Amino acid sequence: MEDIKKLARELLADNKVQLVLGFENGTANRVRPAFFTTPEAVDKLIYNEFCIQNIALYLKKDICQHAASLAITANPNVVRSILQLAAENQIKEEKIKIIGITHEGKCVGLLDFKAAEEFSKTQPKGLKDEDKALIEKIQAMSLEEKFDYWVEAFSPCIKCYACRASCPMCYCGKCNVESNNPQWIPVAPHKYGNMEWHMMRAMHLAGRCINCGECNRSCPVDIPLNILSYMLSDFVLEEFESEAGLSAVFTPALSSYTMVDKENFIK
Amino acid sequence: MSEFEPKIVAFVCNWCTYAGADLTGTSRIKYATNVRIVRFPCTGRIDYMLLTKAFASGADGIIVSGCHPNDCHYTSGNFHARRRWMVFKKLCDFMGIDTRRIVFSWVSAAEGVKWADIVNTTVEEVRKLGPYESYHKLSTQDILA
Repeated sequence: MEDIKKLARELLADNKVQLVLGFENGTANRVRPAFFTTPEAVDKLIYNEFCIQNIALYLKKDICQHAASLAITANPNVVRSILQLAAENQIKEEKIKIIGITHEGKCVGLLDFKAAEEFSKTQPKGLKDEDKALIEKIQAMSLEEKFDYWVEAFSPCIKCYACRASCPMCYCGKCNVESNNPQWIPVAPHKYGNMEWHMMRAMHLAGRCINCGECNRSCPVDIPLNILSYMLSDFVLEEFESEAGLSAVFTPALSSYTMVDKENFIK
Repeated sequence: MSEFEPKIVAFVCNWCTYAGADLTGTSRIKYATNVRIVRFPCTGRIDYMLLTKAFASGADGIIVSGCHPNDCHYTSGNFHARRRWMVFKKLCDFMGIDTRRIVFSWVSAAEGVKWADIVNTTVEEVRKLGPYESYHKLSTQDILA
């Protein structure tokens, strides 16, 4: 942790960045994301095993958008998010200094995009075994069972949109769900609206999701949303050999095509 | 009780399949009347949410059809659509939405016969599957249910 603090302090002291995005101690033994603007303030910066939130989310917020330059304490999920945001022209390399941190909490120093790409490729990723088992369980179900499973899984959804709010890739200024003329998705936490909302989110993230699992962690009613995105990412990788979060120069699978895409399902 | 007549919604592109369906008519080829055609500028414009909307509104089957690859009026709309359909189909399969009821096809402006054939076979297949209720039921359910 000390080397992370030292880096952050130096960056601010040398005026290399205006802002450091990291974590500090919150109330009730929780950690919370924080912005540090002076070298002295960095005393409060922490990094421990609880700092798992994907703070790349804040890069699209006003405070970061308005900063001329900033640094971020980045675990592998954050690094992947940054690369994907860069691939979608949402952030420029000149503006951001990435303080790379492994899953184990070891600081690997400042990463430029090239180093970040290497880092991203070498760091372990993927679902927990229990989530993989759940995907297999669902895939083995019959059509009706699958449908009932998801209707049931989405039924506690209260449409708080925490999944959207916590997702670094959900950065649209106006979301389809807010469209009311025509209304695409009923706003009430109703079985039909819930189903369409989660389907839409899964489709919009297909080929772009970096599988940090933040949607699942932030969900107050524990809907296994990450397995939807993961299942689609897996499919996209298999079909189109395309994987998000590995490179800053990348066209998401659904924004591109090849002449030889499969069409055995088309009459 | 009268026999079940499937309701089919067809999302077609303006430049190929719509013209193809027109040709079916002008060629006086008879085909099933169960289909309601919705015309779009391009298959690339056909949002997957429209498909779920159709099911929610009580459609028993859906046809999505456009120009053959390399024939798109906008060069690449159908290529983008093809990828999207693949992913959407996978998602539907995973979520238990019946993809046997969604038919994707390429029908050019010269394939009036193919269009009649696609509609007729889709109607027959959906007739065998029976009414599609599970998704429609969701949308009609009482909000507190």
